Amino acid sequence: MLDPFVLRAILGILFASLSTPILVIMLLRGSLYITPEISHAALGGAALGVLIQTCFPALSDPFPTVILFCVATAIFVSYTGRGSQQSLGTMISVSLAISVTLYAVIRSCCLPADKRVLVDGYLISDLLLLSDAGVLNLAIASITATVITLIFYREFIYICFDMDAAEAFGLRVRMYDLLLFSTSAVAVAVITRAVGVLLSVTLLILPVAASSIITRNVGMMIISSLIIAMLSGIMGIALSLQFNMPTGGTIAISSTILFSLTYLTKLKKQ
Amino acid sequence: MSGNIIYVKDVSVKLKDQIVLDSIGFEVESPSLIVVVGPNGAGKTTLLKTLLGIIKPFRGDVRVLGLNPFKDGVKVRRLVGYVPQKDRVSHETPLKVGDVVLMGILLRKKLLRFISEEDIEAAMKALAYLDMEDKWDSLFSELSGGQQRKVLIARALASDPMLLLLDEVFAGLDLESQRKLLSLLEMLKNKKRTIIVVEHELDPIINIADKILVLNRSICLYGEPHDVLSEDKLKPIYPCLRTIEKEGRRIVILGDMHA
Repeated sequence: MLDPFVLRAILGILFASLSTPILVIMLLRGSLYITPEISHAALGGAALGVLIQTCFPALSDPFPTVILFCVATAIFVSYTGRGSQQSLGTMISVSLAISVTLYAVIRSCCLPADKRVLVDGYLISDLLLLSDAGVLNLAIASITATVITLIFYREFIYICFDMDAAEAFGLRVRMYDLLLFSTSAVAVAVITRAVGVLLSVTLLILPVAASSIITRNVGMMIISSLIIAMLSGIMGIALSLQFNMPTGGTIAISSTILFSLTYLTKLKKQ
Repeated sequence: MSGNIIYVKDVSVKLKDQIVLDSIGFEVESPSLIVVVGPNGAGKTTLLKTLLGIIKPFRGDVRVLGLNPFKDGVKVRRLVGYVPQKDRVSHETPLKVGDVVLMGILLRKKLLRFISEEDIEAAMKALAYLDMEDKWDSLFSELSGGQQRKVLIARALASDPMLLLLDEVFAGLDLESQRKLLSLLEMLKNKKRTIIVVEHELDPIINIADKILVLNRSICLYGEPHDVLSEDKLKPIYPCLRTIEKEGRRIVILGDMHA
């Protein structure tokens, strides 16, 4: 029988892995590089969430605020930065500055010492510390992202492939593009909760990048990125238990190893 | 449908504070094949996007299939087939040819957009018009430029639209493919479809055109080929214009210049 801490960690990583399909679509959209930037918004969201929780103790988890903050950042970036790559880059930097400033100000000036630990838990996370409510929050967020991805799969793919024609054929491309960014922001929040902001890039980018090396079929890319993310998570939890390290770090190590193996295999085949 | 399928009156469009179309007006009867030519930056693609309701003019009135494309944009776009310039298509999205053609059908359906047997048949038929049915399972990004062009044309044809807007569809096609595309467009015209083709040059589309519209931010000339194709009329717009004889035919080469 699995220890409840381990069981919750495994469930957490399974739900975090469910977030990778939308990230595959972000890769095809040419916007995957934005997701690590959005993950930094989680810091501002976590600080704000913990502050709200301090003022209203009935709100037990800052995670919903983290999701809202990530989604708001994604909408802000995609709406204000749609003119050109340059304006997009500028708006990403602006949102990063706002989030980190908010984190620093709230953490230093508004939170008591015992609450600062909660916010810092978003920098490098440990899935073995996940509560039942935490698992439930991850489940709700990741299943929501997956359902939206499944329902609007074609719309998202068509936007990625040919935005002009999709609009000319009657698709409301701006609306679906905002939905794509918002859904990916939910996925980012889930992955950030699982491994922390500092290491989120490893689960946001590496499984998707590895899948794009393995296959050129969109469906297979989604399935393989899901499997690689799950394997990274399970391997990471096992390493964490074996070497008594935080799961965030060991999951990052596992996904880096899996990506490197995939890349080397491809090089060998060439 | 007969009568005026397109009605444009005193339309002016600004993009980034620059006037791209200036007080243009014309009508298109159905069925017909109109060729729109003009130098680079003359507003040809903007005109197509205005007809689709994607770009909104700051002045003027547009009616397409009797509808206002800025109020009923989605409705209009679902009735019109459009082939954009190929360079706007992402080659990073690994879609198969069949999926690309089905896009033209599924985007006209309601949410969830399930694929039916009829949809696959229609997509196959559209590909067969262009001798591309054997490429159904090939990756779009791995086709040659000309083949990709044909797939995008098949996508526009797949839903059998009343009005087709084609943006530089002859570019990159070999002579045999150009000939096949010409017969296809003729066949569509015989099926009472209206086609607007934007091109840089008049050859080879001129042979089947009903009217020519010469655009250079405003309409310079609009009429039947024999009225428009005179050096006196075209020379002020195309200073590099020349006429050559090829296989017993007189071909007008407009030459290129920026607007």
